[in-house]
Amino acid sequence: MRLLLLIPLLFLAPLAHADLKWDKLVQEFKRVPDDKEIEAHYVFHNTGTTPVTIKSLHSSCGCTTAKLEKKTYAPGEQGDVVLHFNFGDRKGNYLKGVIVTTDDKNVEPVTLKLYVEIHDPLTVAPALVFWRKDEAPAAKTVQLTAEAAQHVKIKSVTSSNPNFTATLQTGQPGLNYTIAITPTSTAQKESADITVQTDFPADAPHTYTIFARVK
Amino acid sequence: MAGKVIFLALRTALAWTFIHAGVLKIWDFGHGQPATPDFVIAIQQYKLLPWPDLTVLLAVYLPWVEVFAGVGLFVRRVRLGAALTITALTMIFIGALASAWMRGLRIDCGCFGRDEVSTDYPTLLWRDAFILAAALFFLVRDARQGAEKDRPMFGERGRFTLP
Amino acid sequence: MIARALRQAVVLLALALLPAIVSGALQLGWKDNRPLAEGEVRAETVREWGDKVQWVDARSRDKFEAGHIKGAILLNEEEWNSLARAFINDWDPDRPVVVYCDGGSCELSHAVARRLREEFKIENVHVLKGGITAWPEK
Repeated sequence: MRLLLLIPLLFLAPLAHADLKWDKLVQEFKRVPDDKEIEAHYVFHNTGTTPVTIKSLHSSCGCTTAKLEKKTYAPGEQGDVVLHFNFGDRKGNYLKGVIVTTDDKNVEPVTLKLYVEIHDPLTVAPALVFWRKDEAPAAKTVQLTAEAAQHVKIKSVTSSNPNFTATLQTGQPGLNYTIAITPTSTAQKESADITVQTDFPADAPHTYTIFARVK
Repeated sequence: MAGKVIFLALRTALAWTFIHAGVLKIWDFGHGQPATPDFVIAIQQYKLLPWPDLTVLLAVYLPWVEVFAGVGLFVRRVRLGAALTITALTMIFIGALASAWMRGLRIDCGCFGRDEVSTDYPTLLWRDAFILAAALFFLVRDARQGAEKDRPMFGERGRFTLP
Repeated sequence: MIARALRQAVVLLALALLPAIVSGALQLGWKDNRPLAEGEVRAETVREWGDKVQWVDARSRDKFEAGHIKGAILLNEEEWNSLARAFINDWDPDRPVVVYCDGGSCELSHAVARRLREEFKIENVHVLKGGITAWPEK
């Protein structure tokens, strides 16, 4: 009698064979920050003889979420894991991974990889200029360079604090600019945000901020 | 006879679960480095312990308790204590999981904290419930057998015997 | 019977304590001996800098609010544009900046440190090896 009670507790060895085949495990994209997010589809097929249940989709970061319509797939059935990566304020190259595990011990966990290059069409270098107290109030320059493939025009440059002047010099229009920032005095701590208004993207033009400080 | 084989298989499965779980928390075989720092982070995500030092102590000690309890299931002299330890550990795990579930914590993610198909609490709790049932079964069985034979702790024979 | 079970459990717990102490000590030693990556700094070194350190927390807002190193400023990539100003306002060129995240395999602190160096050309930026778990005081 006690034996019968135990049977459900025994670990049953997998008898049939399960397998998941993925069309693509790695995908790469290039985007601009204003795209804000990206969605990538990872299609898979159950090429085994038994149903497979996806147990978990473990993301490497909360900015990346993974969605599945349902958890169990019959033999021959096709499924689609949708990776959604929210850029936030990121810039640069990012690799986001999602580990897919199933209920079948014969199916190894796989990592779905998403490479995203988030490149800003305009590079502002440096985004911070500062003077120490009582340092000579000489002008400091910031270079703005647009990508050759995407010209970006500077429409205006404004300083939030009249004690800092910001002068725009155009190199090649749409390609490179210089902004010279000069404090009227460095006798005490001061701060200004220099706002650079551009024309890209056309529907919601981006503004960049350069921080100017006397520390 | 069939009964003995099934009980042995079940005891082995239970022991293996804990030894395996313990070892993986001590050494990260995939990356060839200690697994303790990542286990510390995992414990912290349950938000149950107020002191960070306690978390580190637990992360170092708990895996070894799991390993010794698992091995202890095969050592007649301590198998009752091993069953008790495993029962207690499993009840604590179930409690921690249930508490995290009720507070809506998402445990799995490393960085920012949100998965779409998130921590599968029901499955984990069912798994632990089965483990608890197995542990209680051996606790009761070993206690009864022990009572029948009235074996002292450090007794005459002092050898390992398979249960 | 209960007494016997408890006695045996205590024996097991005591036996487990020995390797735990050894492995704990070894792991602390392991942490100290691992080579430093670019820009990384060990907790002992930061301790020597005393109060001058400007701590930067590279983790999510949730984790920051649940507990952070005393005096740390939140600056993560998710909210960089809105958090950068607060950091710049507080930043002092004469204080070393130490960025931290969770420890273990977390790379967020390196990403934030890199942006501070590249975008703002701030040089005195370091990453705390071992993350917040290497710094017990909060």
